[in-house]
Amino acid sequence: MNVQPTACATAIREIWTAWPEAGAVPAAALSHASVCVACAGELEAFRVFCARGAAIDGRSLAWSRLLPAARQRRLAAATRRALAPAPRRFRPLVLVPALAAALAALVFRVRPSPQEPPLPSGAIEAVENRDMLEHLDLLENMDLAEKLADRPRGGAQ
Amino acid sequence: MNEDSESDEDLVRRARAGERDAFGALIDRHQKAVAGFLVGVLRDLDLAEETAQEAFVKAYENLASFEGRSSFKTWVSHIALNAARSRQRWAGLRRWLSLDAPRQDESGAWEEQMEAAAPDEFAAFERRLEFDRAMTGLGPREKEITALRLEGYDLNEIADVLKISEGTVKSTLFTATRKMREKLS
Repeated sequence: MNVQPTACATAIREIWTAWPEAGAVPAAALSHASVCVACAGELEAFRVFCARGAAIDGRSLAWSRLLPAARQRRLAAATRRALAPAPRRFRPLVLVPALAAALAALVFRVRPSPQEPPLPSGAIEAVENRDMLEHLDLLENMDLAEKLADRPRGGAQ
Repeated sequence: MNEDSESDEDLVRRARAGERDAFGALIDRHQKAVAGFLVGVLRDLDLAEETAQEAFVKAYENLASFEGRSSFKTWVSHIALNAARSRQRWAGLRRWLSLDAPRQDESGAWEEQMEAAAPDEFAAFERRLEFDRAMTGLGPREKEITALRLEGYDLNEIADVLKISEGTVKSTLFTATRKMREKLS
């Protein structure tokens, strides 16, 4: 029987995308294969391929079926444990230094800062005046002027 | 209350209200599938389990931001996939910087891991390993979609996890199955 190449292409695609379940080939593809020799051959090849991918007892070769159940239970238990919050245990070796540090920090914060005794007002004024004169370079200039005035002229004694 | 019969939506609501056990029920329900597809993506059992755990813890911490537009399963799977991608980037960088010893070739490391995990299931493991080896030739997105599909996610769920259209999922899966078929033949 003559069939359209596009119909064959569609049927072949449908057949192979049913892998790995030989029984999951869509009805349309099966129907097409029943009237198309080429596609019937593809269907047969597909069934052989699926049989090769099935375990001896016909079950699938999914790793979840092949791996030992005990191993999978261990994994599930480990994952459950990984979800759980860390157990709250009393750990004096950690708590004692931590508490001591916290107490020290508290004492340091609460302790009033030592205040320096106030300077007498006369002393403050003296320092301020001296600072002012130094900044103006007045003292230095006055000394220089005095020295120049006292020096004998022409070097004759 | 029987948590087995409760819907994911109800469990999420209770978990948001602070009931840790409700989230525990969500872990029991979905972590196997999440860890399963991560094995396919990361190709390392321990790393996959670690990443699955990380994803669920992250989901729990961000439960308030879960808007319920997608299912809880695809939401947590999306978180897990992002975590896996991030780990892969870091692993690649570490290898490039030579800070890590080069990882064992998958042929050796896989058998060792699986044999240690469950020797009685070795035949089934071998079949799966055959597929996982075929998956090594796939691109990152093809690999992710294949891993999710093998874990039982339907096309709609995969589109939700990867935040892509279902059409893109289909076309990528089609290409991926072609490649694997060639590799396995």
